[in-house]
Amino acid sequence: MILEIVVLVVKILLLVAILMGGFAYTMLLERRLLGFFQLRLGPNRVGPGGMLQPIADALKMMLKEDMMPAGADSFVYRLAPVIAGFAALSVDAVIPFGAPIHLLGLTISLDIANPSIGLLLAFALSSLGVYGIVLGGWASQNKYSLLGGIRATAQIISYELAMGLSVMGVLLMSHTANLEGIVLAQKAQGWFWLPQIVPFLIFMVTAIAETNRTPFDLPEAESELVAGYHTEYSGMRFALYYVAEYINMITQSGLIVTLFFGGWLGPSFLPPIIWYFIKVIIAIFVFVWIRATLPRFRYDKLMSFGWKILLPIAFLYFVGTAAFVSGVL
Amino acid sequence: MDVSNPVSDFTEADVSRNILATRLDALKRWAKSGSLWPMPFGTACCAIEFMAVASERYDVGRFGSEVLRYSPRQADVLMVLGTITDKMGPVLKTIYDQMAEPKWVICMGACATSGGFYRSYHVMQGIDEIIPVDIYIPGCPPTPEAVLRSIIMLEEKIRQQGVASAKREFAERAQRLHTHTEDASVTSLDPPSLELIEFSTRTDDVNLPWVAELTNRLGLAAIETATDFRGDFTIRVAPGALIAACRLLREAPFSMDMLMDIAGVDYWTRDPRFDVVYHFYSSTQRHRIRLKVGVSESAPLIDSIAGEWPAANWYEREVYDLYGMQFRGHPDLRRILTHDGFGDLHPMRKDYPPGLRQPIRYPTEAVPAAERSPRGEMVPLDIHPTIMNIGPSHPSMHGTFRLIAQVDGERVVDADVELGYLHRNFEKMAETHTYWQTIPYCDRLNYVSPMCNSVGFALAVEKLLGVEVPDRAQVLRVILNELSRVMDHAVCIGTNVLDLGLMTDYFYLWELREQIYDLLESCSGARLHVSYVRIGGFSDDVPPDFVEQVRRILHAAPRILKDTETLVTRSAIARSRMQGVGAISQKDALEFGFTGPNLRASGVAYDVRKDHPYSGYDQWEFEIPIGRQGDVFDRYLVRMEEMRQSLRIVGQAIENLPEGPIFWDDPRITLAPKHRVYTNIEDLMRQFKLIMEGIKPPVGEVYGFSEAANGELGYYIVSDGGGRPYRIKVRSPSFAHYQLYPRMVRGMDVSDVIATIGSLNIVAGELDR
Ligand code: SF4
Repeated sequence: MILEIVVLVVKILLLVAILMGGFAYTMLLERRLLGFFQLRLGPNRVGPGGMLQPIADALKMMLKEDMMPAGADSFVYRLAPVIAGFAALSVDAVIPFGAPIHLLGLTISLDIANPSIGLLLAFALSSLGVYGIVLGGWASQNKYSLLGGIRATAQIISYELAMGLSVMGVLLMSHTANLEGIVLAQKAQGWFWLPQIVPFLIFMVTAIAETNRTPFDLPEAESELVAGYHTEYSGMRFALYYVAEYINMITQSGLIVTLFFGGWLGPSFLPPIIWYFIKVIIAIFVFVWIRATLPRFRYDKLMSFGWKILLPIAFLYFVGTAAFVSGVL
Repeated sequence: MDVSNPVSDFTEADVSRNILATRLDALKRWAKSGSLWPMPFGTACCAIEFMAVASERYDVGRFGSEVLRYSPRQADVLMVLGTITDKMGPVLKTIYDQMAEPKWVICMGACATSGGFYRSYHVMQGIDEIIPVDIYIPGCPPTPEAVLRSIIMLEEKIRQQGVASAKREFAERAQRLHTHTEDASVTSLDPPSLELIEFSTRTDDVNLPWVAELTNRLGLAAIETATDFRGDFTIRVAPGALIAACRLLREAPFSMDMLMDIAGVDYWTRDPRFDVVYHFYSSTQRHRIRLKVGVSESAPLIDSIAGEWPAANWYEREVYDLYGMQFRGHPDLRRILTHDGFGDLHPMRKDYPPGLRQPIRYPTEAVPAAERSPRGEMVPLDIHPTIMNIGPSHPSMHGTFRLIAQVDGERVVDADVELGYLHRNFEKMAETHTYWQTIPYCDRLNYVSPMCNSVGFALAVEKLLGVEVPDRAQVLRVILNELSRVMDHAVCIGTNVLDLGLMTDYFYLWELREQIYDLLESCSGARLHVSYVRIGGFSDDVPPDFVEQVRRILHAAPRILKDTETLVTRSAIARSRMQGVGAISQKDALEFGFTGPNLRASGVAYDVRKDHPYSGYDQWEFEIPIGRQGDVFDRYLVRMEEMRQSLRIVGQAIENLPEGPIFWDDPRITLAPKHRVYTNIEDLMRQFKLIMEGIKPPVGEVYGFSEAANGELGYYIVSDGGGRPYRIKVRSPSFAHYQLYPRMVRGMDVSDVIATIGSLNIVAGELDR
């Protein structure tokens, strides 16, 4: 029992450390990749090859003055980035990032919790993140921030439904909502991206929306709303939003890999955990690539895109899958 | 150990503790210096060079500084890029105050450092009047290398600075401010020569085609005089007949459909003291007419024609602002360019010293109690629908525009714009400099494509002088002008799609621009403000590998344009953001004096290069693309096609580049070649006279116009026969385009507001002058 608790604590610490490191280097990766797409170099001066850039950025953020605008709602203003950060970090608790390993006679599954409704939990937690944005935008007492917050709400209601529907097919095919179970089902049936190609694409689109990245970066829309919902945030609190955004990206990549690309599965010459991370990095690369290539949607266009295109398609495909799985077809 | 040495009082523990502290401190300093996120406060041409610094050739990103934060809360270093006017001062100060500690300031360019060569009534003579500066970068504009160097210097400064000195510096910030005394070089201006007064009130009745018609319809008393000088028709009407005349001009046979410009002129020893000059153009008949009305000093009252010609609204406001004329019946007669500190002073009047600044009020309270609504009243902060100030310091307002929008949710219900944040007094400066010295000022009008402005100016002065430049110079002007147009359109499209959230294409287009920069640099030595054109030709011949360089650009450009095509034209999202947004009808476009790509996108094929060919444009084959809807997408497509057509012109011109002189060899106009100056007394005298006194064109007035990147760029020049222009009024295309903007954005979403302004390509330098 004690051993299990110790293992759990170690796992939590490890996960947070990996995620924070992952955040820092995802950010660097993104900046270098954007440089690559844009014929530039990107950060390469701080530390060898720019490798210490994220450390410098993080330290600097901590050292920066923490400001609160006059007239802001101080409690909510402080709470909002915490919600965003928490929501982003907690989703990863249910994502298995490797096959269970055997150590000291214990079977340690490489996730922190493995509830049977893992997928639902992941969805629930990740949609909590929008509260951080909405509340932050509202509490800042800044019109740009407020607009950013409002946009975030409009955005979440237009893509969350399609997102939820798009994974229903995966559930039907694997007969479980447990993420480990889904991975194992793919071991038997093959990766789901091919049979579920349309839901996969829909999930990809909505995952970008979930992370508030181009072309769905409306809540922060730099050229329109200055910095959107976090315009007024500085120092650590601003950093927390940043952390949340990037960790969200890692998380969504993890979900995509788990749901559609067989999680940690892969040829055995590399350990499963490495396969998992390779796949996640590829997914992140795609995220950055999309950011470099596409312009931003407009508010109303996004809503009609979510409601009129994504949702019906996701629904149809879901019905089709259901018919197929149940043997009607 | 020496006991008397105070250092020895430290114990081992002290030392180790301090080592830890110093280590920690060094780490902190390392972090701060390695992660300088800039907040670009770009207002003018220096911002364009900063864009180059952020782009692929220089890439400020290598220092980790490509994370541009437009929210002052999140930025570490405030980069002041460009001229700061007194009107902008309070904005800059507010932004600085809003930044979180620790913060630094880099001040780029001569203007921000010291006012540069704008020793004028509206320009702050150095930003250290209001905020402390850490690094100054000299240059006008500084080279991108210098900007990178400034970041390295700031990093060094931070790394070397101990805690104590940082604290001291913080405490001493206020002492690092300097007040700049009034510029001593302010000269009083010469009164107009008698000849000019006579010219401007000439009574000879020239037999012009329309004078008889106008006289017939308005009565003999209405028409005072008429002149024809270098093909420009000027009709002086009696003040009482102004409105009737303006109304009449719309009808056949005049068929004027565009009001191009309204200028004020101050003949300060004459009575009536002022002239208000109206420039009309008929896009169907392709002719122009200039109306003049005298206004006396004691009762500076004149009828407003804004009822007849809506475009007159802003032009009249400008005349009121700068000359103090009261326009009777004007819907909204307020200052437009200068700040409110001017009270009842009007700086373009000849008796106003060019360098005399007026005190400005800086905000003292953190949160003001009221704010300005689009209607110009002060309203409480919590009014509904709420008021949103977009700009002047806003990433998409290009530094200097301010849109005061009343928004209901995201929808704009009412809007007004405020301009003048970059009013750096081109016109006043021109009056105090010789024609030659005016060329560098011209470069800085539309600083995205400087060549077009100075070529336009040279053409106008050449018209005044009645000379034409040699063939080779003409063809070179065409080539450089067209490449400048390409460069301007590239930036316009790049920033427009950047505003839509598409980052990458901007960098591709910037590469095209860099290649043209290389060419310009090899010709003139400068990247941006080339000052290469001279009245009568060029300052120097092009380098021997010019043709090759141009060919290389011609070779590289199509691929870059194709990339843009793929990323923008074929992108469904981009199209959905641009199609049907910000449409301007043909009627509105003409009514508000739109020219250039913006007018052509609305379906009017007016292009000075075709309709009034100059510099031998008629020998080259090219087409004028026109749009149908006049929306953002059409403007984009028209610009894309114009770039192709420009390259086509360049391709023809470069293969047919004649040999020969590159300037008009006339002792009264151009300098002699240097070797002759050193060997021969006549040429030495010629050099001396031209440098000291300048070119002296004949007495008269012309309106010289050319097709700049943004549309018709006109210079209305009044010459009194002296070495300095008596008056230059710039007819800038952006001013006309921006006037319609607040009307256009009503009913739009905030996102569309942003998309629209980028597509109009308003450049503050020529908007505010
Ligand atoms: S004139 Fe333009 S380029 Fe020169 S210093 Fe001023 S802003 Fe910079």
